Amino acid sequence: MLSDREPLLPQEKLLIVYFIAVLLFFAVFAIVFVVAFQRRKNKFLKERYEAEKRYQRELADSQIEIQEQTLKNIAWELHDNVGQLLSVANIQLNVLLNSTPATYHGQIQETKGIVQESVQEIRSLSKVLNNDVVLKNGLLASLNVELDRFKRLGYLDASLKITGDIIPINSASEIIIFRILQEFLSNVLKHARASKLFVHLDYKEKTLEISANDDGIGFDTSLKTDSSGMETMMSRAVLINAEYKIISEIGKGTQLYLNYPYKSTK
Amino acid sequence: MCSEIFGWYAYFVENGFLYFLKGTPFESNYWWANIYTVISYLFYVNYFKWYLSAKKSVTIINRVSIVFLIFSILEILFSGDFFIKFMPITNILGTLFVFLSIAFYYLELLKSDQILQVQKSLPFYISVGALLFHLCTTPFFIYSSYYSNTIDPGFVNLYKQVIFGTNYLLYSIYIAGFLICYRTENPYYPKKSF
Repeated sequence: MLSDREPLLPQEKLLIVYFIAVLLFFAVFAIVFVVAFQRRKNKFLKERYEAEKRYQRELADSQIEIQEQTLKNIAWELHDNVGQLLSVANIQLNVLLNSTPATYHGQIQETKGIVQESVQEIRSLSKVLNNDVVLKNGLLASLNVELDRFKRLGYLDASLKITGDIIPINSASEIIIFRILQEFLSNVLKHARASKLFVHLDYKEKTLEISANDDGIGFDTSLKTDSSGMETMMSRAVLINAEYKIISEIGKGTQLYLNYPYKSTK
Repeated sequence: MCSEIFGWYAYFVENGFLYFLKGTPFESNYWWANIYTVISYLFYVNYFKWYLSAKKSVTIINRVSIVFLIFSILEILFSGDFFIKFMPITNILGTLFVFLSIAFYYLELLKSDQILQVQKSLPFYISVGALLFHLCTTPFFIYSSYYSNTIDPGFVNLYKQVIFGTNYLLYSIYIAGFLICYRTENPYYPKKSF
């Protein structure tokens, strides 16, 4: 019979040591394993999140690219096709001017003026639609062309103010900023029924602050609209890491505020 | 295979051509088994070392191999167990050591994409079999000096059953592993296929 008084056999001691060691190993291994598993899982989730973000960014990029390409095509068509046709019309009018009695000359001259104006309009329109031209001229020159075009149309009085030292911006961002402003301006023209438009570019030390105000009818920002213009502006602003705000109230005009950091991550 | 030779060795000593060894320390086959055990543990450990790519774990395993070898040589020389029973310290250290290398292997598996195809990797089956076998049998090897019908027939019976059972289990797992991995292109490092 076993008695508690007798000393343990060496085998028994070894067995105890063995079990303790195995259990210890198991415990340590389990902990390490769980930690490693967690780490791997987190890494995986992070990778997936980043892939998703990258995908979104690429999607937005390609959308922009398609839009730019479309605009460029339209610009080419306008410049090369419609522009040429109008030039031909102008020549025809010149021929007509010489072969008709003098009583019609006044009217024909007027028509000629209109045709020439149209050619001019189309030229400047194609200039701001084609991003190569925008790139070549730079943001400020293109903005001036666009605002002049509005002035010539006679609907509203547009003015541009620039403060601070002009800092060159990378061209991709320049295009995007210009497109945001273009979208806003065309909305002003189409919907706001404004008589005055004021654009202010403020070059600060680290950011470019752009604000554009009109004195039009305004709109309720809480209402959802069908137009994709607002969303396009927003997604473009996100693309260049700019802060973007539209403030508007019915009867109080609309204000666009854009704050672009020069050192955006892209 | 080896154990079979050990078995025949004892048989030949008892009533065969090795009768002259009777009465010498080489009478029973423990000395042979003990040398085999040391080599077997080292083999398992180095087998799993093949599949490790982390330099740190490889150096740890190399160092522990040397320590283990020194310990077992010391036990052979000084414990006096070499001829009369399985050496307990070698068995315990060896089992823990195999456990360690398998743990390293599993951690590496977890960190790599191979874990997605683990059912097609041969070392995984080997590791499961080896782990179960060594953990289950070591307590019996510690008590191997009681393996005698004159001391405790009940223990002999239990010992036999457990050793047979774990052996069946071990080799069934190996066979299953070999069969499953038979058609895998590279069973050692199965590629992810998605």
